[in-house]
Amino acid sequence: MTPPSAASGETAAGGGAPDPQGRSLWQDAITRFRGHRAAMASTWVLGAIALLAILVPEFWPNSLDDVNWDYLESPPTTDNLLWFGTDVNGRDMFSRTFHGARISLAIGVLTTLVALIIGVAYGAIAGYRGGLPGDLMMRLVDVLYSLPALFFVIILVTVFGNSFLLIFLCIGAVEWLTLARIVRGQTLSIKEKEYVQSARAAGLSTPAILLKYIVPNAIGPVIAYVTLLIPINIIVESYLSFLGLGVQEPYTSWGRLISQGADEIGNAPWLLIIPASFLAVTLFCFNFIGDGLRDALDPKDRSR
Amino acid sequence: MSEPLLSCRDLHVRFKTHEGEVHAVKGVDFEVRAGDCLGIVGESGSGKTQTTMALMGLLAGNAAASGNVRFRGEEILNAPAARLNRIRGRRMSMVFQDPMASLTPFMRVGAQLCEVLRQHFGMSRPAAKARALEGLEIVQIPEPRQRYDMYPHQLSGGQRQRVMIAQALLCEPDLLIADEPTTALDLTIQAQILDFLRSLKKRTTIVIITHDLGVVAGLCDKVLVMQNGGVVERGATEAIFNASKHPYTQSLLAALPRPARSAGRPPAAPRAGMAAGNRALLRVDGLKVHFPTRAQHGLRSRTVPLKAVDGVSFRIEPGETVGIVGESGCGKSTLSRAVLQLIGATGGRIVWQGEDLSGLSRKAMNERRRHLGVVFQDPLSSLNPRMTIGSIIAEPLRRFYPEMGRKERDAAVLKALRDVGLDREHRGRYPHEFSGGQCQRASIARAMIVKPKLLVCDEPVSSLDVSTRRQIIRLLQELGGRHEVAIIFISHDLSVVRVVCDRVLVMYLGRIVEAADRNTLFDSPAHPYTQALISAIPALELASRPPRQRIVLRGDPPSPTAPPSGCVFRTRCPVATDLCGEQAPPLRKLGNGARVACHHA
Repeated sequence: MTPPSAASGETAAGGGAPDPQGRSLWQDAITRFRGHRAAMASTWVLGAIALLAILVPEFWPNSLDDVNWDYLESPPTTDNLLWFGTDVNGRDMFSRTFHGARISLAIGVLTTLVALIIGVAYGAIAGYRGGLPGDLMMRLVDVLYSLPALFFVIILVTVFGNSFLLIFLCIGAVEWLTLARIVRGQTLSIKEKEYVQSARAAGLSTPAILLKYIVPNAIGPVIAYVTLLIPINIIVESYLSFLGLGVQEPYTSWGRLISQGADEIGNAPWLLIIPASFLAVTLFCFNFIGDGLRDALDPKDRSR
Repeated sequence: MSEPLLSCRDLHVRFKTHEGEVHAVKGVDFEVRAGDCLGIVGESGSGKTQTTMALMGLLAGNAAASGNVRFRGEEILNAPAARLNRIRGRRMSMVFQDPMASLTPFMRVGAQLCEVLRQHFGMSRPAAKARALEGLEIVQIPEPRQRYDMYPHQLSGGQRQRVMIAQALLCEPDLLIADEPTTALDLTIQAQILDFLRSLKKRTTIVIITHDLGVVAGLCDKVLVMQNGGVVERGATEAIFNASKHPYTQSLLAALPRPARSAGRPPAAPRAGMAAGNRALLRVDGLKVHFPTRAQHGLRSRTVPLKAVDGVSFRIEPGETVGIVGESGCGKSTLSRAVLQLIGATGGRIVWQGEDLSGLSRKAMNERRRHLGVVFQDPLSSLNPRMTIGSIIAEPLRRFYPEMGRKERDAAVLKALRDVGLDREHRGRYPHEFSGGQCQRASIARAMIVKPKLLVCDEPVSSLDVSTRRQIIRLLQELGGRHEVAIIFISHDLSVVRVVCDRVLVMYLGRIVEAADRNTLFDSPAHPYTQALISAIPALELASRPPRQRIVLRGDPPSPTAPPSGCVFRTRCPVATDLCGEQAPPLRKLGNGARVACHHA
């Protein structure tokens, strides 16, 4: 037991192993995420649904708009591979469910991406700039918050017509507000950190500080929120489809399938139950993954 | 009397973590007899806090304790909470380090004190209140009746710590455990609390946990030195201080300031740069930094300036090390950030190599930053957690020498790592994988890699352990000497400043009250505040010896939003007269070269 004299004597408790590459906070987070059972199971389930959403529309013998005249509104059966039954027009529900999955997931992910880019940039700039301009930026967010988001999307979609791209942009354009608030809050505390002061003292430009110092450190809670935003956006799309403003025939989404199933709930309950269960399972998965990510990225839990 | 009050045999504490089991306390034995005052000393990670947490039954959920802990002969380790609660608070109390975090912010101070009494004795409200007020008087809080109805955030740090002690003493416990009771406090407040604890020794048995042997020296009869979860040395305070056997204790002792010995190194010889030109590297003229704060006046609120820095002037010559000393809130950190142009100045000029910095555009200022390095206090939070050490150190090079090739830059980073005593393997790692000392080394490497002319160090060693502290100071001195860097060294710790600095500025409430070279300042301090600061250094001094002349200041520093009229120090000054209330003393030169702002110096 000699006093620590050389620098090597002060190695931090966890850094005993000679690992020249080091473990970044991300790698730490992944290790912790792996330990979260519900989140890992959800990842596998979600992966399976995503894989089916990619493969089924390509390779399934029954396409989404082939009409099976002998099986109109048939309950699930093994005949002709109609495992999920058919709808009123005799179209294969299995094929349609995974076509819907493809579109719903794509909308969920892409709209969130749009919201993420706008929200993070806006929030980081407003927070870092601070002062009156920063306040004005956030008051604008408050104003937009007060408008009913769904109403806003409906106006945008009816004015600009409903193509896929527009749905992404429209939903993304109303869902970034919370993200901007989260990022601004994070930024306000991060910009007081000494490493940001040290970056300013090192003469770094503001964009460089935002990109290298603020955003990477603010992103933890954002990622957790994003996993919750994806299911929200899937649901927003399903509202739109339910109102007939979403994807158009012959394409379909889970929201649209549920809306059609709801009409036939008395004589063909599987039309509602099957897509609704898929939507529910997917939402659960995202929520669990969000929980897992939040725990994994929470720096306070960094027990080393 | 033969039975000890508290005995602890073969205590082990183990934590289950994601990365396996951590054995925090490895077989600690000690006993405390009634009337003892025991000091448990160790650096962070030595297991001293976990030992006491185990005694109190306050360990975290993932911890397991084993061994024997007897309080008055009763086994209390891992005892059920119901049984512990009869002892905890009632017969064995604890005072924690952070007085803000250990008082409930939503309850009035008096209510918190009464709660303890009502809980343990079932006292009636009036009886509890009378007893609580008595408790506040015992801890010498000014105006206890008013404080009784205040919320914790309305009290100063020192007052909160007194309330904590009052709460711990209310039930007249047999044993008081204080975990770093003065670490979060300023030097002059620490002196007040230590003074008070010394007077408390007659009333109760005390166990003090601290990293600071200076605290133990004037207070405790017995010392237990811990390292890495085990006890390395124990004995009477005298014996340990005079003839410690263990090398670890010796190294801790060596790090302590000794009151008798004069300064550690000879006064700096005037360096080449100083003699050559009369143009200062940095000149600060009447610098003011005021922050607008809102103050409530009934229903209206108006903006009151918080004068963090209020008319400060000094100059720094190339290659010299200047210390800025003062308690928290005196404006020393604001001053350093204003010098670096990280905070805009409200008034005054900052002249860098003959050029006024405040007039520069942001872009032009950023170019000047090549010559201005900075090292902050908290080693972990001053490094970007998402970047590797290598890229953190290389960043200033990328910024100021964009034309530099990758190979050349890598070589420079490796050299910088070597200079600060880190290994080349460290460059791929991330800050959170390092200890505080290593992070601080990396910070220094980053600041020094572009060879600045001025390095601003804001409390660079305050959050480090004693032994690491010495290494970092040595490193700064060595690098400063080798590269002819001028250093502004900000610290609340006079013993560090004495070792490092050529010249010292003492600040109080945004103003410089004394400026002198190191030896003049420490040998013959002229300002009463400086005198009090110097006498408050907890030095290697034993309780048994006649205490040296100690000046304990009254009260707390006033708020910088409403500074006293005239001399800002007069409210706490032992020699204040009417003149001090009427006229602010200017900085004037004394015969020995020191400049002092005091009418009576």
